[in-house]
Amino acid sequence: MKLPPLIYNSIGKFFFFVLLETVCVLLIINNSIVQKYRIMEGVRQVQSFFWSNSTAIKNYTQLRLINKELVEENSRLLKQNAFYKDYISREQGAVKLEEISAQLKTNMGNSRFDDYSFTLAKVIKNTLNSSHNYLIIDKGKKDGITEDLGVITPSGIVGIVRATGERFCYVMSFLNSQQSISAKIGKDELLGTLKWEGRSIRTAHLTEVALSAQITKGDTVYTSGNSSFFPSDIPVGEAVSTSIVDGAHQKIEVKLFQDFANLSYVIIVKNNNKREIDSLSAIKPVSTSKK
Amino acid sequence: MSWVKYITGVVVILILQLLFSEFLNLWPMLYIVVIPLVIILLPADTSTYLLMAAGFGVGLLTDALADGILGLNAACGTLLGAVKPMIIRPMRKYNMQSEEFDINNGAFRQENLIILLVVSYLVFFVPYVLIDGSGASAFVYIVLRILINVAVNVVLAYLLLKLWIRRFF
Repeated sequence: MKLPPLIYNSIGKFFFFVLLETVCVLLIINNSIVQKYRIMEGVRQVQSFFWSNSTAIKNYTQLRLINKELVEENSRLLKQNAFYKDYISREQGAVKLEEISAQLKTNMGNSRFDDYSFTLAKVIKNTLNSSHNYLIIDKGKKDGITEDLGVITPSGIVGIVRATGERFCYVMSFLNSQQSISAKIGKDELLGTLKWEGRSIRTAHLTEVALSAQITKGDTVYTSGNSSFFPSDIPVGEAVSTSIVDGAHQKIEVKLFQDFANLSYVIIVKNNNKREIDSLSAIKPVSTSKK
Repeated sequence: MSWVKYITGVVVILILQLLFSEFLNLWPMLYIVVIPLVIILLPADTSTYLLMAAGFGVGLLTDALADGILGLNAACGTLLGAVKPMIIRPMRKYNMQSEEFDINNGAFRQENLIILLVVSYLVFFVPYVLIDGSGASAFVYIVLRILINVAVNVVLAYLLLKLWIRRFF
């Protein structure tokens, strides 16, 4: 395309002007120090303006790449964070387990403590508003947890493991109308069945206690140890009131020590002799009478 | 206009400029300069290339012969050469019918001459003072210096044109 003569002429004049002025500026720069620095200062300002803008443009065009890098870094940091959280949790867990074991040992105060092994677990879910409450805790098959293990805290019993997953397990809470445990009370250690009746999460009832038992308010209720789920002598609660049922046995209202509303860690109790006990329990008595 | 006369006039202007530069140091703020007349006196239809070249050449010659910053007068002269057609164009459009519009023409109006001188010296002195006073950043000082130089030099150029140069050309 041919440029119109007017534009062509103007461009030529412009370049001629620029050429002459450039020569003048070069002469000034080379012959005067003050002017040289002033002009160079101006040149530097123009340069820095273009440099900063070109950097901004460059950065803008690289935003996608930078964003990708940030996402990757974020992902790496999240993994790192999870690792350290897990590490701290394990450390805290180990310390807590030691503390709890020591407390349990003091509470139980007999040699049978050594028959059990304990695993600390964190409560993931804990229901309280149903008549069939349950807990989910963060230990499963990979931690050696199986069904029918007792779950306790130093303040009392929590429930029994009913189902296990790879990393979690389902615990039927003591606050479940289908759950009952064997317990004892008083100086004579009279046995009874401790059962939650669904009225309050801090109250249970010890039933089928012999009429002969002299129960006073404040007497402590312990686990009996008759089942393979829980060790004996774990304090569960204290007697609040008694009543006689059908003139045959006593029913004792028990205030539970365990506050189910504030459960964060629990201990899974494994009876090291359970298999032997269960195998012996499975033997049916041989009848000696002849028809 | 005879080119021989013009070149003679340019030589005279240059000699005057050198004399002023060397011996007429009235005030540090004041710079007596007559070389813009070399561009102003060129006919209105002179090519812009020639105007710029004339401004550059006369300016550089002044810089080289007088004790100043080499290239400063050349830069201002070149700028004046480039701008002169733009100063002349509105005057030519509204005040003159003849294509022979130039400062030597008897029909050239008095007010146009003054406007031409003022604008030309302003164009010359604005870059001159800015570059020459690079070390001084006071705005008032720069403006004052431009105004004083423009005023004094316009009066001097007007007198020179009226008394001698226009008759000579």
